[in-house]
Amino acid sequence: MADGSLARRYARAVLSIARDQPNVVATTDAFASELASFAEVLDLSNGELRGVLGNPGITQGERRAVLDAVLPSMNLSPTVANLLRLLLDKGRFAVLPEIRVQYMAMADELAGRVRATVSTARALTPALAAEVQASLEKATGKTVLVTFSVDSSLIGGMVAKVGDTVFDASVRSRLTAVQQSLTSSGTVAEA
Amino acid sequence: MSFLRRLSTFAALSGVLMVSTAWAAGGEHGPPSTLDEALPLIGQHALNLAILLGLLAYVAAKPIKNALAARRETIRVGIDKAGEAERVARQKYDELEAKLASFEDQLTEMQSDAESRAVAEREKLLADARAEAAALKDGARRSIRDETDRAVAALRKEAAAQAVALATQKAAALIDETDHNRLDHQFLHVVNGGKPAGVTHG
Repeated sequence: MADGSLARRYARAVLSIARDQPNVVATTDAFASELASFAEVLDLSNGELRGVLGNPGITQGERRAVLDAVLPSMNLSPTVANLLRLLLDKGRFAVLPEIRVQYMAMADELAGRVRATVSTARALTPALAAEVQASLEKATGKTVLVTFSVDSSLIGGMVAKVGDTVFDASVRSRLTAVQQSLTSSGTVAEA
Repeated sequence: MSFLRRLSTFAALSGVLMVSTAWAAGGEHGPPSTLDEALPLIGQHALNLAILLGLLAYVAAKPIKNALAARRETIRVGIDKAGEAERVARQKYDELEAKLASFEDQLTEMQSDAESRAVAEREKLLADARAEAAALKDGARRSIRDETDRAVAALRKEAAAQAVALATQKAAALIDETDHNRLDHQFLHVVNGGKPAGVTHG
């Protein structure tokens, strides 16, 4: 909870810098992309860089030197690079993943976007995927960035999660509802 | 003084008694062989006896009289004491008798109280035992009902799970392209607001 609040403050600060730029949406997206890229680099080699930067056994100066050596090769914007240096200096590097999540949510909200995951029992055709995305955009009134995945345990139908809203029209959910109904109503025992 | 006089008299009479005794013994003669010979001897012995008795009466009469008087007094006092003791004993006996009668009443009362208490205690024990038995019975009934409910719920859950598992297998085996298309359209229908039941908000 405390990390969430802290992360929101950092994310809001980065977003406010982005909003001062001429092309706000492009800048916020660029910052989000840079944060994602850095997160990927942190996870490389089994998180070796993350381990070094978060290791209290290594002096602050040595960790800062490592970060300064890595950052130029990533071509990060000064804002993101300074954010990373600040987090390292403050000993709050562990909050970075949450900052990224919070920042992306704020950036999406700023851009009028919403992210959705759609699970399907079988792979969708491009036409049907586009139709699903269009339906979700119509339902939310926002641009929807959809991530599709196949989940055969659904048996049939789809499940979409958009923010806190779930659209569930899968066979699995119907069978689950039937099971709950049978369990609670006693229909099975009476039958 | 009187005693000395008596003592001197006693001594003188004793001397006479000894002389008369010796005389009565007959000196060197053997025992009389005829009544005529014996009569004077009997007379002498009688005289000796009379003298002895007189002597004894003279010397011991008064002490004996006194002793008898003292004895009478002792006996009288003893009789009085015995009477007093008898009176006291009778009084105590009466008291004890009264107490005994009272004890018997108390005993009867105590016995009655004890019986009443025993009856009350028995009733209380019986009531407690009945209450406890009823509580145990209720507990057992409740326990049986709970266990039955649990067992029924578990069976129901198991039956529902098995039924749904079978249905899942059947659905997975039987679902075809037509079904998929129909389900896809149902999903789009849900997203477009046609089926609010398929929408949940976290």
